[in-house]
Amino acid sequence: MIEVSHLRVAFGAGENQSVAVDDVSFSIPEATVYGLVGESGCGKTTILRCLAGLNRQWSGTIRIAGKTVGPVRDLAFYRMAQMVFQDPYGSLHPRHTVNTILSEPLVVHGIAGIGPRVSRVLAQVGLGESYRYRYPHQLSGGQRQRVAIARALILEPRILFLDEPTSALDVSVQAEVLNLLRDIQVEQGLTCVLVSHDLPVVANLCNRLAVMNQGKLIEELGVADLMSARAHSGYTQRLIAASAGYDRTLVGLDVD
Amino acid sequence: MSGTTKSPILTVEDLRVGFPGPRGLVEAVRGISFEVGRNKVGIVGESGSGKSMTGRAILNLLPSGATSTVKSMRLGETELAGLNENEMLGIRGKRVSMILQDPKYSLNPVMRVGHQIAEAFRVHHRASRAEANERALEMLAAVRIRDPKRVFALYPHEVSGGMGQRIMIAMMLIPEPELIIADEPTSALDVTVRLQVLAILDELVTTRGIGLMFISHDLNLVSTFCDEVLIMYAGRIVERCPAADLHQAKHPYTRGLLASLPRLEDGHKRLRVLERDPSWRNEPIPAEA
Amino acid sequence: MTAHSFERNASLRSWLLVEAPQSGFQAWMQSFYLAWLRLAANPLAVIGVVVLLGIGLVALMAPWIATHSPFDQVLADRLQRPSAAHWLGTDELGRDVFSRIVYGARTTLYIVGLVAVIVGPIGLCIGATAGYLGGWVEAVLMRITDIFLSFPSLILALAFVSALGPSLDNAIIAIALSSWPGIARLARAETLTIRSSDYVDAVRVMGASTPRIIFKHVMPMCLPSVVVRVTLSMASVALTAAGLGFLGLGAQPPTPEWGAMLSTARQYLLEHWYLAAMPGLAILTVSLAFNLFGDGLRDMLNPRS
Repeated sequence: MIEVSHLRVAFGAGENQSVAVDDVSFSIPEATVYGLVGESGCGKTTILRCLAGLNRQWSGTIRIAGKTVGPVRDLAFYRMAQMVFQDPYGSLHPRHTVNTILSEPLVVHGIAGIGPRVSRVLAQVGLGESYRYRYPHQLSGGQRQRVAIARALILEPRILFLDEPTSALDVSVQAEVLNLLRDIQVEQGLTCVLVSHDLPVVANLCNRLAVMNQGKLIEELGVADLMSARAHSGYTQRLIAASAGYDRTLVGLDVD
Repeated sequence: MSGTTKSPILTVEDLRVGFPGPRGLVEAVRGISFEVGRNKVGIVGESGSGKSMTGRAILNLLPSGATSTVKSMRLGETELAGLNENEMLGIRGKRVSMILQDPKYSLNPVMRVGHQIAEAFRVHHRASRAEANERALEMLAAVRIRDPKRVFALYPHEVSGGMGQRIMIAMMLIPEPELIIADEPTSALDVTVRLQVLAILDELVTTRGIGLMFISHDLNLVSTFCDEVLIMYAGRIVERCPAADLHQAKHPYTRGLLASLPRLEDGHKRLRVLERDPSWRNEPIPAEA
Repeated sequence: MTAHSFERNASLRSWLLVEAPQSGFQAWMQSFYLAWLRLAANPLAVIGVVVLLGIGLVALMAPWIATHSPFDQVLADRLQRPSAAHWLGTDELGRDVFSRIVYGARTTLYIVGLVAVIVGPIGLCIGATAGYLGGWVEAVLMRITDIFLSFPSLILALAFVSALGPSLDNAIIAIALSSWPGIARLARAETLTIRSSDYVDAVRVMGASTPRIIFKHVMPMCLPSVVVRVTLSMASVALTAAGLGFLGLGAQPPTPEWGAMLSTARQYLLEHWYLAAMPGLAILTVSLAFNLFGDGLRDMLNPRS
């Protein structure tokens, strides 16, 4: 469904040029969830933004649904691929009601039957009609993220890009959102790309994952390898150990 | 285990914090009591549980509009309740310091970090500039910065997040406080850096006998890092237990939170969703552990 | 208040505060109501609003409030002191000063209102477009703005009026020309932060067109600060209008205008100080009220600061 080969992204020019993504290749089969894992600045979000068409300065090849896509995408692409952002407090327009937020994609794409479609998608993400005319500031973080997911789903896409969709949420709410994403993914056979720094979250949603560090893809793992902590690179091993919590014996103090 | 020492550093009795809003007074903290000894006490809760307000209320650093009342709040022999702003200045920084989430916003951007640390010392102790700089260098070494002389002369924008947080720790520890309130001190850091910063904090707090109030949303981290855990829900403490026993927690809220955490080894297993029971808001609070 | 009306009042209040509004209209009214509550908590802003509403009412009802026609000259009664017949006395042509001040409110509000209506949308469009598009569009638009900003506003207005000929409408155009650049700059600065926000990325991922993003998603976010800025600049617009009138370049006689009244009254200042004091007081009141209201609006729209 998604094939990326020799993707390279560099910001700036000349001596100040910094390479954010360095020769990354991977491919994602249809109806699976692929994780991009790493610490901040490793280039995982940049890759996602290239895939979604938000970042237009890259070189390499991206093939989506059998077609090679360029930096600028058309309406048909956006109908097929949608995105959920990290911060539910920032990704919903503060002065639009839930109704306006959810209608907007339909208006942009000239799709009729807005009213019933908004109701349907609200029900799908587990929010009732009573949320329809609220403003984002009247919703909790979890409810906002549900609205953001509803906005991505309302165009009935086949691909969903997820940028840390639960990292700004409380754990109990995170569980609800993860379950919701899993249900929708299975039900609609969606292909998803999940960017996250949180290995347990990745283990919960993904079939396969790529570990990134400083713009490079370090290794690819299946979810079974992740669950049993079978990683080849030392870096991945360190990430797995760190996700278990604080252990005095694991930490070298003198790293600067 | 040094869980409850004979003389607690901080004793708080019946602390309440409220915000007036258009729909009436909203209570963020609803009558909590706890003690911090020479140990690491974790305060865990979800957003809106009142955990951050608790930390801020102790230093009287509440957002404008918020009001707080407390029956008694003793720091060692000093009663903090009813101190005016001027008297509070002698407590804040000198006897109790606070480490915040993001060092970027807590450091002065136009001052070398070394001078900021030295300044923090001179505010509370009579010392010459040279002596304070000497102390700042020692402190930078104590937070395991390998080349203190070089880091001393850097500006905040030139240091990484992990280094910045170590500098904050150095700055907060140099006046030799009795108590440190750390509000999500490592949430902005990457996992591998996070553990280093925690290890440094752990070492300094333990060897110097400082009390640490560690406010966090991360159950896993608190249960592995702290000595004692207080779970807050809707402005009240619903459970307190030694950190090592958190996994045998009794309160349904705590158990629900633990069950909703995804675990690496569980893979795609469906997560348990926390069912909130309205009675949790008002049921009796467990006594001191 | 009867029990019945009290009950209706309470149900209106709960309709405005209910957590789950039933329609877009209700949600809209709710946010207005909450904003009003915040404004009402600021006594100075309330004073500003009340004074402005009062002046607006006076301007609207001028024919009923004024005791005389503002144009009637009774030369026999010239330069009278305040009395029961002429509350604020008469001017050098025997016209009733009180009536002229009342009608003068119309002139001032006409200028201020038209300038606001012209300047707000132009500044907002130019600033938001420049800020969102960036690149050469921004360079061109903002350099034009800089050129306008580099002239002192009164001098610029003077130049325009003397080129176009003195009249009320030309004064409005001149004042508008000198006050849009500040608003464009503000709108651009706001847009720069809005442009990189997630909710704008979210509409880009929908495939929305650039004009749609600018008009439907960026501009509503710039609007509060633009409204505040326009309101605050209304105070200086009122002063500039009076200044042009004073120099004889604004409203032309016999139109009652505070600046022009002040200008002629200057000749009689020693014997008839109130002739100058009254229009001066009116100008002061209007610009003070706009400032108070503008400050209140700013606090109301940015509850965090």
